[in-house]
Amino acid sequence: MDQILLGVGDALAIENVLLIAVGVFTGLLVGAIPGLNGPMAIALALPITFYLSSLSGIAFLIGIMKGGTFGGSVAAILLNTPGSPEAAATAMDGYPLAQKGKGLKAMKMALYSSVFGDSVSDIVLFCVAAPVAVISLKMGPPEMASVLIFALTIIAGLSGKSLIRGLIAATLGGVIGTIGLDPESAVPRMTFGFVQLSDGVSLIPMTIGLLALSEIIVQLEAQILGRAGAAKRLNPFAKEVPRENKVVTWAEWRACFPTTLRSSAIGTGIGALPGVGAVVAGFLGYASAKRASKTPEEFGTGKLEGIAAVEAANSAVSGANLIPLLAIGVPGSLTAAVLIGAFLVHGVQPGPLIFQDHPRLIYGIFAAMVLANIFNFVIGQAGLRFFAFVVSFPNRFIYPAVILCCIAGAYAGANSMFDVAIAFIFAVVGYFMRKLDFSFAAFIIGFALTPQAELYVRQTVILYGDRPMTLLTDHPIVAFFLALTTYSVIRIARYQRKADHARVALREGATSNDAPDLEITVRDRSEP
Amino acid sequence: MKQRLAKIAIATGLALAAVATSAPAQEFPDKPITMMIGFRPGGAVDTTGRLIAEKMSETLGVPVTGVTKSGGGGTVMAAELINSEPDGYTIGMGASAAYTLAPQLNSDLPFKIDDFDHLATLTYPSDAIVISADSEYNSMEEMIAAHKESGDPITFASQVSASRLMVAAISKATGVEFRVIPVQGGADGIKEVLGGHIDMTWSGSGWTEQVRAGTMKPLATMAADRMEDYPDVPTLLDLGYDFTFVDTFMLSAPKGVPEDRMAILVDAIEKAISDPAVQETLREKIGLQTKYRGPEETTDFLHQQYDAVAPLVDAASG
Repeated sequence: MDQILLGVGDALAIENVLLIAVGVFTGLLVGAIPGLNGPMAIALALPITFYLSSLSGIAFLIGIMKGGTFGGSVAAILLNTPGSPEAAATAMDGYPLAQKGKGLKAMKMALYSSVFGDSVSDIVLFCVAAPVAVISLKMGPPEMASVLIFALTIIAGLSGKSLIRGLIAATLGGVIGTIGLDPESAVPRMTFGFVQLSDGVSLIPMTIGLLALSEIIVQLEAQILGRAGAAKRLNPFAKEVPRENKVVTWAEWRACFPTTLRSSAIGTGIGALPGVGAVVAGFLGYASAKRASKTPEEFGTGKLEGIAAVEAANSAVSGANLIPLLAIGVPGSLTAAVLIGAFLVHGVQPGPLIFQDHPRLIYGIFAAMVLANIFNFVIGQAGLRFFAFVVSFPNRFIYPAVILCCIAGAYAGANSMFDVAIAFIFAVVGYFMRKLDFSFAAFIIGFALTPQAELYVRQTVILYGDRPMTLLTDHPIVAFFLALTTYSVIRIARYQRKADHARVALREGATSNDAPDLEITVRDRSEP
Repeated sequence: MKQRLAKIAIATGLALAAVATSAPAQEFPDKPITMMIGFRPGGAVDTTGRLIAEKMSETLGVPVTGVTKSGGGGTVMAAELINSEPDGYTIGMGASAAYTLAPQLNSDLPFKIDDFDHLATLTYPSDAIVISADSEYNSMEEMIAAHKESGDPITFASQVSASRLMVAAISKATGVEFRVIPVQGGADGIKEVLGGHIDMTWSGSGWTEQVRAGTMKPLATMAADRMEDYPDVPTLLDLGYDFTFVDTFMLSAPKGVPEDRMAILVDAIEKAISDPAVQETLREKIGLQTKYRGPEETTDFLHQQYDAVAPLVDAASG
């Protein structure tokens, strides 16, 4: 108890409080700017913390981490260009809301659900880190493989209008995801002789190109061709916007609450499993909200619940990520791995004994996390005005700045011009995906899940290849998730057939050129 | 007229070039030196590099700036380093496996050991082969003997190519079958062993805390000598397996750095790594041992390491 109080006292020292505030602000800023993001800022800030005490340094980095989780959604909502990869799903409902003049409402919902998800996951970390870590240890290769196979079924929920095109996008994402050294033999696959591809295509430059740069191309094209309608942005603070579009009402919050809670749980679970990540958690939260909803067709058209689903889930990852780190000394994510570096530099060895050896530091960090959540809320709330102000600048200022940040962000991860080229290649890919209505979400999920799924499946084959049936008999978790996957696939197939019937009926009845999606694709492709 | 102008221009150019090449030779270094670091921030290589860079700046009087060029276990940095100017202003902090082992496994890599002017070896991790504390075995001999008798394979989590070669060597010597499961990093290997999914793993760091907590047991080390802090843990050589591989963290420069500049850099590096405070920081904070080698010794060391693993690579791929 003494140690808890001492730790909390340390965190409340004025310099630490200030550092956390600065960290949260930095995180919000880099998160909000497309191209820059939290993990990158943490890596860049790490050397600065060498000169701080261990608690101050780590608290500062945690502030950046937490600020970054919400920051990404701002640009996703206002500009349709996610500030960070995990906010990609936020744009799906956030941007339509902004187009309807409800940008501020959307951002506030994102902030509230983000802070809520983050807090839930922190509470889980503080209270039950040890038992949760034990469960995550029980998740061996076959268990993880089955979880990831199940996660792949969410592609159906993210496919947009056409399941076929969703599957194509996901498969392409998966193929891109297999670029790099073969995990077993270390033989390069599809690297075309580029050493830079030996670790695969980096997620951040890819998403920068795919989501942010491609949107700018689309906007510029609209402007050049005189279709300025698409580029017109409403200032969410403008006087003529009615107040109800600027706030989240208590009724709205309550209506979304089951979704927020479900997504918080999903995010926490994903965070506690090393190596899955916030991007997957966000999409998973979105897809399960859609699946649970009575009106799934409203998702993607500007539904507040869609934002809550994504933001609660991707933010809940950040606290839970520290569960394996603090309880068993294994980092759960890139951010956590960088934090390990910060611990080491300050002479703290993350491991099972960290609570015993450094209780004061750990409780100090916990207190810092709570503080960071509070700051995130306060600074976020105040910052919305500032962000919205920045975004209300004319496009001729916004786009060059965003492009510059995108290039800098693509470069900064590994200080590599190669990654900048990757960003531009995927900008072109993203442009055509937008034009042909292929789902980004499905593509990114395919990309993010495939390397993990491949690794775990191959591990499982090596371990259990000679006795595959024992996986079903001796591993209840595997059996459970495979059954769930089978059920999901059957349900998706049924739903799809019903939808097809409905469409056929519609086409036979209608005389207009209400052609099904697939034909549009074919026609678009044949155009020069 | 034009011709004369051209002649003057050429003459001035030559004169300038002569000045340009002679002047900095005395004053090297007169601008910041870039140290490309081949691994992510916060890790052992990065920390070594940045500490040495800081000390080198003090000696040389110019900033030595660490720039992350991570990827491919240090090979991305090495591939970039050979293409940079050999003027002494660009050096690279990496790991020996990137020069000795990676090119034998990956034919795409555009460099060989002798494409560089290697400057120094600096540090190496205290590595160990570890099993879960719940395991019934207490030594490598016991475990090997038991599996030899039962014929059951030993499962081994491997995150680096070197540990894969190691089990191949043990397997060849004993006839015990190993199933090598690829994992993404040392931490993942530890997690799988702690969770009881895999029998054994190799760890470059992180294992010491698990041993201290009583959750894991060290069986052996791949290093050539026993560790000071764990004198009871045998080397593989002690156990009679002809295998040792120490992934040593080191500094290199592109081939062709002028000799006088090499000397200045090497002096600064030697001074930095010989500082007892630096050695203590490295050892206490991140468990790194210091082993300084000069340029020639480093190159010899790399060739030895290359030759030592070559037959194993052939055996593994053949």
